[in-house]
Amino acid sequence: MILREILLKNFRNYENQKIIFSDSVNIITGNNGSGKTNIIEAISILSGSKSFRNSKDKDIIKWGNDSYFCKAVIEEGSNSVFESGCISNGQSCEKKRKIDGMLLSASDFFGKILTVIFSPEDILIIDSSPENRRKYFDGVISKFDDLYLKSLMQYKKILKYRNYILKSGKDENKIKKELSVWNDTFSEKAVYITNKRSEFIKSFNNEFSEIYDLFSFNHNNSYFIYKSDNLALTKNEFLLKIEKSIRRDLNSFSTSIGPHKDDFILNSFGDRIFSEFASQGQKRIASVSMKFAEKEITEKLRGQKAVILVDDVFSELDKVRKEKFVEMTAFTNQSIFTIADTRNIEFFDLEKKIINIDKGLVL
Amino acid sequence: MVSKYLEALIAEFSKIPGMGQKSAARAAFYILKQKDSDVKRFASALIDIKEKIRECSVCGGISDADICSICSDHSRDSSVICVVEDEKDILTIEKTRIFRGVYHVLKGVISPLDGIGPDDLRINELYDKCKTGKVREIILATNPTLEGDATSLYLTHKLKEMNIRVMRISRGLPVGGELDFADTATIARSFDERIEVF
Repeated sequence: MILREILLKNFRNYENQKIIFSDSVNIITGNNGSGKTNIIEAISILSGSKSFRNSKDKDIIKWGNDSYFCKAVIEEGSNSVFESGCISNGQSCEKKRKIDGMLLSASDFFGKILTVIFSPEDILIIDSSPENRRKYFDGVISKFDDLYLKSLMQYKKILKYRNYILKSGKDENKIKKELSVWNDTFSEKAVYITNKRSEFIKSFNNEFSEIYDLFSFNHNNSYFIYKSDNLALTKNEFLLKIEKSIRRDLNSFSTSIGPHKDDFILNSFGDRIFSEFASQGQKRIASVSMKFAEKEITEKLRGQKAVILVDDVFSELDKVRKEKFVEMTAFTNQSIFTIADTRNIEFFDLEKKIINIDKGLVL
Repeated sequence: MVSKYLEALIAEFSKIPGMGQKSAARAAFYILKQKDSDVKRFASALIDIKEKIRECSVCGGISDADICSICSDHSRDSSVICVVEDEKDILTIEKTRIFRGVYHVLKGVISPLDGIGPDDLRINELYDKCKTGKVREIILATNPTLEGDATSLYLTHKLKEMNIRVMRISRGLPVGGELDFADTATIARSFDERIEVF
């Protein structure tokens, strides 16, 4: 998959800018705050519907305007045009997404442009809350499994319904009756999601362990453990469990069991919890390896090449790993790097396109 | 605005679902150009549907009398009941002329965020019918949405206890459509509900 060009209108600090990419290495340079990452952000919105920085749409709109628009031309066999726009009335945003002029829902638009984004914040996936990890792994699975994404969205909707009923303040018998409507479908989706995650993490680990050893020049025996209280349950077993937990749910006004409580924990050297002993440097290497594992697995299952987007991560790696990083991306995929320190360009000893940015303009 | 009467009519028309300001204005001008007798007939048709149509006391659908023409038709099999979300669904199914049983309108679907629970739907009325022992089969025809499916599933559990055959209309590919255009969830559903041909 090749990203031919991108058009940004009223997007962050860009007023109206078209950027054309080469099909090998692209290096976006410019000073801090010139708008390098904004380009990566636009591509992330076009490939995943949400910003990889987790920004709100209204914050992406260029100051003084009420809408933004971005467009990408993708080559995969033939050319396709992806568009995403957002109009804000100050309070809420209305968002539209199109592929070749056809209006699509968020879930039908999601992941059609296959990208892998390396960002400094990746370290937080390993280091912060379970919610971040669930979000990350759910996103990866959704890139190649449409039904997983749809089931997950339905699960979240039912979870919202359940919690809404639990918080409704109605009398207990009425709450129990209203919950019973959803328990069956909730269990079905919960079991489906748990099984998919558990199956996925096995193949993810195969890729991850190998890449992490390669990148750390060490044998670490590292892998993610999928931590769930509902592993290998049948739908009926889960249903029984959720019916039994009703007292706890009523007391806490929320749903206490289900895949929304799961976690993915990185272990090293067999049984040590990585985030408890690892240094920042080790975490950086682990998070980069995690993204490479994502690349391998999504490319394999989609049968397509991903567009590699690297936001600033490069500057945080040492010399040997920079060389390794270039070796693993630049020769096989189309890649787009943002680089503030131009000295780093010397690591790209191959044909490359340099895009120089200043204050939202391509020079 | 040139006329407050015209403005009032446009405002009324534009409340109709699917009608915007422009189509409302067009409709209002159309009325203005009609003969007096035609407009009177139109106006009385409007008043009639509000005054004369009522809810069928048996199925909950629309009716000109206390009991609707479907429920009072003796040639139809009242032991087979098709459960639908709203009155409109009856018209849709009737167009096919394939169903010869009777209907039961739930008047909505379970939807927590809208504050609609099982007690807010015409579910007890359905149980009452089933308790008479004259019902052989229930066909659930709620929409294949998360809420529609949950409502059907809820009914299924209750009806099973009454020893009644419970069926649900099947989900899958639209007739005359192409696999290409169907979404993954629909295709997956149609595989789940595949039927033996031979």
